[in-house]
Amino acid sequence: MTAPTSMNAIDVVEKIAPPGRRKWKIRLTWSAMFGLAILLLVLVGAAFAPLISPYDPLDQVLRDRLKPPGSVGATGVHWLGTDALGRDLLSRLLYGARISLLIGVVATIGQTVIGTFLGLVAGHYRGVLDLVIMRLVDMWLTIPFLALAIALAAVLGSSIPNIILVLIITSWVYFTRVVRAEVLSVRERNFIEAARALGAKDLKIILQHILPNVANSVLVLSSFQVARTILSEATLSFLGLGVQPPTPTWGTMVADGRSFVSSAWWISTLPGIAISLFVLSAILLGSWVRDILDPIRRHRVQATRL
Amino acid sequence: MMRFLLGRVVQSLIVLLGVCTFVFFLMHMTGDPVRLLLPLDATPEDIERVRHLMGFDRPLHQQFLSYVTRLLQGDLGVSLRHQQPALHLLVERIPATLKLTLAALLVSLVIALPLGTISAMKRDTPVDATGAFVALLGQCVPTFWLGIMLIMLFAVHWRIFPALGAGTLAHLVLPAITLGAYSAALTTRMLRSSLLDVLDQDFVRTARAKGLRERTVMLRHIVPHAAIPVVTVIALQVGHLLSGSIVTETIFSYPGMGLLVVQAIYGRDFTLVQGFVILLAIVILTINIAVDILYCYLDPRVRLG
Repeated sequence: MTAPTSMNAIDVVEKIAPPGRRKWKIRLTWSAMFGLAILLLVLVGAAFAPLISPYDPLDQVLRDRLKPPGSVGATGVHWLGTDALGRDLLSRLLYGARISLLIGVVATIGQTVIGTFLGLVAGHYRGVLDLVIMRLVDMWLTIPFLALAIALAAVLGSSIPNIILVLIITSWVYFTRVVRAEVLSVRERNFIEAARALGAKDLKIILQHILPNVANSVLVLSSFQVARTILSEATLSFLGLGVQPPTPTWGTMVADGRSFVSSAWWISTLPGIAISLFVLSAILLGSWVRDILDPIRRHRVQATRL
Repeated sequence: MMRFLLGRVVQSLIVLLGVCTFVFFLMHMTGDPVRLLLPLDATPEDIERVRHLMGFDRPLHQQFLSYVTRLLQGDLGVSLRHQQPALHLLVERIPATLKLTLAALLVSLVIALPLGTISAMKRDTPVDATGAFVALLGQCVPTFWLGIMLIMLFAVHWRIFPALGAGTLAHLVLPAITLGAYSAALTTRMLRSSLLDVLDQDFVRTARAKGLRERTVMLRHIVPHAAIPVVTVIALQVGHLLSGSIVTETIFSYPGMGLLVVQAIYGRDFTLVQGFVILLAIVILTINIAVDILYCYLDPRVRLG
């Protein structure tokens, strides 16, 4: 038999865990490269916004209101046009990238840390702690995410730290659920028992033996969660509950263009494309990381292709 | 079965109590709820009067007790803006939102069922890649932006559908597509992977080996099996669609619960927002129980008890 099913356990293990000295080959797929390119673009745009943006994002030139992309205004060319107050759209997009990036990344880190911590605690200690944490998770999953985020944002007010807080409070549950489930399977394995038999303390077991085993799932989940968080931030901004004007954010820019759908299509369209591309890049990179970190799945994919 | 059901209901009630507690403390978290309810320029006397009127000057545990008691009687509080019971205001808007949600669900199924099935059957072909791309697109396009784009193209540019309001079936088309797009993407992916899992199973090979026609294999052996996780996902999406109506109804000025709630937020009418969250929690918990019951009909192996 030559079918992949005839492969014995050792072969599979060899495939999954190559001997230590063999170098890890990370294959860059087309979709991953596309994702990386967008990410790089956003990173550069956000980091160097003050240097590369042609105008001040807050400068209002009322004479140049609603100029279409590529038109020449009183102060120069507006490559992506201007909005209803005569502000340069390209400059606003570049500065808006900073907000999206900052909130997307910081809020996701917050979710990851808190969610993973609670998941580790619930899965490792079980008992009352587990019961309380999991009921809390049930509760969170029952409150519709958007309703909760909107209510929280409205109550807390909308500064950047508050928006980050809102996005952390609403989304830590996903990490807790995944991490707890993984811990429950890891804690039954022999090496945990061995560590315990050698007298390792709980903290050492959690940090040195359990955490590394759940880290892959956490990393994958957090890269997908970045995408979701960026979308949520944009949605809150769109509803007027995010970072307040005049600070340019992609969500508010889309909202700004709502009244001009018949006369100035570019105001809403362009920031929306920026959001979509950024989210797309996060999803593509997330899938890529998942495929790298989950060799069993990758192996299976290769086997079916043979 | 009855015992299982009873257990689930009790569990859901506990979660619901948790949600209500959370909402209560959310209102009190920022300090003084009266400050949230009143406009910023209210005089100290006004604040004092409202505080007394609404019982906010009593100890917290007393307030909480009377809050829970009133909830048990189905009283979600009185909306400050409208001077009407919040429950009444919300219930009045339910039919419109329900109509939108169901239409969105329909859109999502009409897209997802064929797309997911074809993708799975033509695995690793250009057809599959196209399906995956469409699903990916649906996941990364923000709902609010999609709505505006649809208005721009189909209402302003081509004038096929009305952009705002409600009433006729035509009013429902654009909002339903907007709301259903994300869920369509999710269901497509779910259906595809669920079908692929089943396609690899031994009993499918056996069915083919018996010489059954491909159609029979599909309808009698694959679909009933793959349907189980998909039905769950679809049912659970109803909750997300309901909360997604907040954004969609805002864009299309569609007079449902979502629009009411957004206006309530802008008007600092927190009793209404609180009522909305609790109402949605009840709906979602009910759906969850319904899914559990549905499960044992779809999969006879599941014996609840």
